[in-house]
Order: sequence, then C-alpha cells, then structure tokens
Amino acid sequence: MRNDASLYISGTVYAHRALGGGHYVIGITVPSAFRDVRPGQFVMVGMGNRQVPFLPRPFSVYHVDGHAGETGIEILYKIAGKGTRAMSEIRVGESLSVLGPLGTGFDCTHKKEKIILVAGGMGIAPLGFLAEWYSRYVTGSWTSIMAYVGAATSGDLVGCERTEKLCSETHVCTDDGSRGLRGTVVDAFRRDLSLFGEESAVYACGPSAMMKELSKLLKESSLWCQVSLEERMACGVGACLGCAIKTIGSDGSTAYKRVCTDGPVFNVRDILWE
Amino acid sequence: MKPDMTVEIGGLMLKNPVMTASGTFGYGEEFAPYVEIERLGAVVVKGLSPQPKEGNPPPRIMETTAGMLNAVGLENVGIRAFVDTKLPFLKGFDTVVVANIFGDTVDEYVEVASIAGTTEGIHAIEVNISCPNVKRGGLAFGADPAIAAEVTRRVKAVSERPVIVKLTPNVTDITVIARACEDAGADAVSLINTLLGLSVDIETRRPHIRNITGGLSGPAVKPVALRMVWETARAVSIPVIGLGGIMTAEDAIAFLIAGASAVQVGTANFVNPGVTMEIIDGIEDYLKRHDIASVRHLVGKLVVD
Repeated sequence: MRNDASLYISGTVYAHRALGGGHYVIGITVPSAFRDVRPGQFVMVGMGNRQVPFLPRPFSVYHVDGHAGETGIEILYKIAGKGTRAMSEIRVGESLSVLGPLGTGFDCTHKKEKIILVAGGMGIAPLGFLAEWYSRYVTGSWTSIMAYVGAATSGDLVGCERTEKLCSETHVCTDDGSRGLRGTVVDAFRRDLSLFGEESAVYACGPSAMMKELSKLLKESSLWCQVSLEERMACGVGACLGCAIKTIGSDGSTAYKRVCTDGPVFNVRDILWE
Repeated sequence: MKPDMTVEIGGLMLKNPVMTASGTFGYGEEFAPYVEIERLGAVVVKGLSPQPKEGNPPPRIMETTAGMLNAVGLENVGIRAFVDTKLPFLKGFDTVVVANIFGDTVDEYVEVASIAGTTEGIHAIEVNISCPNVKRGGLAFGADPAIAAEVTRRVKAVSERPVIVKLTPNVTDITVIARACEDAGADAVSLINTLLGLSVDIETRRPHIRNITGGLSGPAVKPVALRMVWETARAVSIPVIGLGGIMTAEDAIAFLIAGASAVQVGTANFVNPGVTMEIIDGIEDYLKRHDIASVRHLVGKLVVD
C-alpha cells in the first residue's frame, strides 16, 4: 500500500476566497509532482505548530492549477469544526504543511458513455475536479456528463457554476427547496434512475447519510458506481487505522478497510453501512 | 567532533536513541516515502497477536486538546502474516526491528512470543501489557504486578531476543509494576502507553468514540510521561525507554535527561511523517552545542537540588 509518489512539503497559500455561507477555496503552492494528482485523491493539510488543530485534516483536491510558474492545488471546504475554522483564518502568504497526493482516485478507464456525478454538500469538491478531468484529459468513449448537485439550502450550493460549464446537464436540488428541486440529491437521482444502464458510470460523494441512502437505492441495481468516502483520520498513510470502514466482499465476508489507503474511492456495493 | 549517538538496550546496539512507537508507524512501509528508515534507532511495529484481529468499530479516533484519543482495538494482521508479508520489507534496512506483541491470555502472549522471539529479522520483542486480561474480567495485565511478572517470565522463557515490557500509566504506582517486570527478567521497560480518556459530543450526548473510552496520546500526556519515566528510572536498573507526547528533539532530550536510555516517537508521526529524522538531527545538534561526547552521558542527568 505504499505511495512512493507522495510528498510531505510546506506550501504557501496563494489564494483564499470566501464563497459565503462558511465556504472557502484555498490555493496552496506545491511541487510539480503534484500535477499527477487524480480526482478522488486527497491531501492532509496541517496548520504548522498550532495546538489547535493538533492533527492535520484530510481534504480532497478540488482543482490543480499552474500558478506563477509553480503548481497549485485548490481545496474547497466548509467550516465544520475547529480545524476548518482555524484554516479559514489563514492568510495569503502563510504556509501550510501538505502531505499527498494520497489514496486511490476515481477510475476513469471503464469506457462508459454517460458520466453521472451525484454530489451532496462538500461532495462537489472531488466531483468538480472529476468533471474537469473528464473534459480535459479523458478521451474516447464518453459522450456526456450529467451532474446532480444538492445541498441543505441554497447558501450551501457551491461549485455549481463549474459543473454547469463542464457538464451537459446540472440538476440542482436543496433539502428546503430554496433553489432547484426540493429534496435530496439522491431523490433527484432516483427520479432519473431508469435513464441509466450498462453504458453509465456513476460517481458519488457526500455526507454519510446521503451515501447510505444511495447504497440502499443501488443495492438491487447493477449500475457501475464509485463513491468517495470521508472519515476522521490522523495520519492519512494507513498507519493509525483510525479511518476504518466496514466492507463486504463478493463472498459475503466482511473486513475493515482504511479510507485513507484502501480508499477513499470504493465500489458502492463494497461498503457495509452499519 | 561528531557525538556518539549509539545506545544499548538489553544487549542490542541502536545507532541512535530514536525509535518509533508501536501503532503509529504501521509496519514501516507506510512511512517509507517520508523517512530514511535505516536512520532510525529502531522500528517498533504495530502490535501483533497470534491471530489477525479486526479491531473496533468506528469512529476510532478523536482529536482532543493537544492530543488525540484512539480506540483502534489492536487491529493487526497477526504474527504469521507479519513475518510472511511485512517483515521482508523491513529486513531490507539496516535498523533494529522490534515486534510489539500482545494477547488476550498469557498463553497467547507465549504463542506470539515464541514466533517473534525466534524469527530472523526481528531483533527484540516489546510486550504490550496494557490490554485487558480476558480471563481476569478485563483488568489490564499491566495493572497487577504479579500478572505483569508472569507474562514477562513466560515470554522471556520462549524468546531468544531481548524483551522490553511496555507499561501502562493507568496504575497507582508504575514503579511497582516496573520492578516486578525487572525481577521477572525483562531486559528493558518502555513507558508510557496511552492514558485512558473520554471525549463527549455535547450535541448528541454521545461519546466521540464508539468504544466510549480511548487511549490519550500526544503532547497533552508529556508531563505525566516524563514524571513516570523519572520515577521508574530511579526504581529499576534496566534501561527505560521513554515515550509520551514527544513532538520535537527538545522533548526527546527532556526524556533522556529524566532517565530514559532511548525514546519512542508516536503520535507526532501523524502530524509530520518525517519528524523522526528531525528529532535525530536535533539531538545530535544539542550534543554538539553542549559539547557532550555521547548521548549516554545525558541519560538521567536531571539536576535537582
């Protein structure tokens, strides 16, 4: 499970934009080796010698950028606790530690025609990157990208402009109906489920309640579907065993796997939700 | 002049006093991209049991003030799979490999020690006696001097390698346990394992960790660890390996001064995967700056009036 291409570096913050509603995009300069980061991979970001937060935090990569002759990675995040609150106070020019790229990325080698993205809340971060990746780098069989983007309320809908640009259709929904369809992103996806079959590849990311709902929905279907999961983790490299998730094999046997190195991308049917 | 960084633990020569702490460095390979493994004094691998262990249901960890709680539940591949699939990687490096071992019963300790203590490429055993004794209602082996001594004696009898006993701080007087292990033949003791703790989510009124309680590690425990190392080093004549919240070379040096012959770096590996390299360099710089010829001259040199 070694990732020899992974680095631990100190990067300078070159951009930090507030998007409203406690959402931010932070850009960090990184060595050119980070250009190989794939959608679905993540980085552990540490805030130097601060006591709070003590541990680095995992963030999926939202965008890879050339910045003033250097490589930059961008992270989309929402303030959710002490770590992200401290991160929101970081100013341009300050340094952060970055460990990565880490984990498995999404599989883009399947030759399916319809690409379907199902993003709940911050799940838009890896899936926005994936939409960009398909349009830029994946050549061949795919003909369309459809996005389902949902959030609790309109103020939490971020990154839709990007998917609207990159995807042939973007279906927006909010739990409270303040924008787009009323309901969860899984409700919206469920409504269109009969449109998708053998030729479709579904990628999903979002809060665990949403992922559970999606797993239930796809239990009886044979749709190709990968999900990217989130768990508390300390190391990001497979050592602390903090980010365990229960998985089930085709023979029915169960085992804990590590979200950090065995994932964070899994086949939706391999996850055993408890 | 380049100071002598070597230390000796139970007849084993370490190229420097910096070891990794069990459970924070995987089986070594996880850190290979960030650490020059052959520069480490020793690698202590994730705790090994006779059979593979699945570990506890999640959530398993939670950040706390200046530290973290964990209840991973000793998930591991088992001693046999370790020897077959993980040890070959570590054999490729010129460093000391320490197999941390545990069991649910004394017989299980003996079973795993009889393999770990006789396998080529494993240079020492570290016995985790902080786990619950299943036959004795779950009280930790390391909480009772007689049981701690029994485990030590039985492991020592089947091991051809030095035996380090890793002590739990969740006791009234750690020196009593340390002396019992020394009398039973331990070649060294390491301390401290994690302190038992609890973290509460006040919105849901649930514990943050599924197991309810977990082991506290990180800088929050360092003063407790230093005090226990100091007490133990004065109570036994075998080497003491100090650990608990070491984040920097300065922290490691404080442990040496308090009486530790070597140190282990644990939770800090999660914050900075290359931290052990910085700690080794920092200790060497300190020795040069203070014109100390050997790191051994620092051990136990706490000045008290």
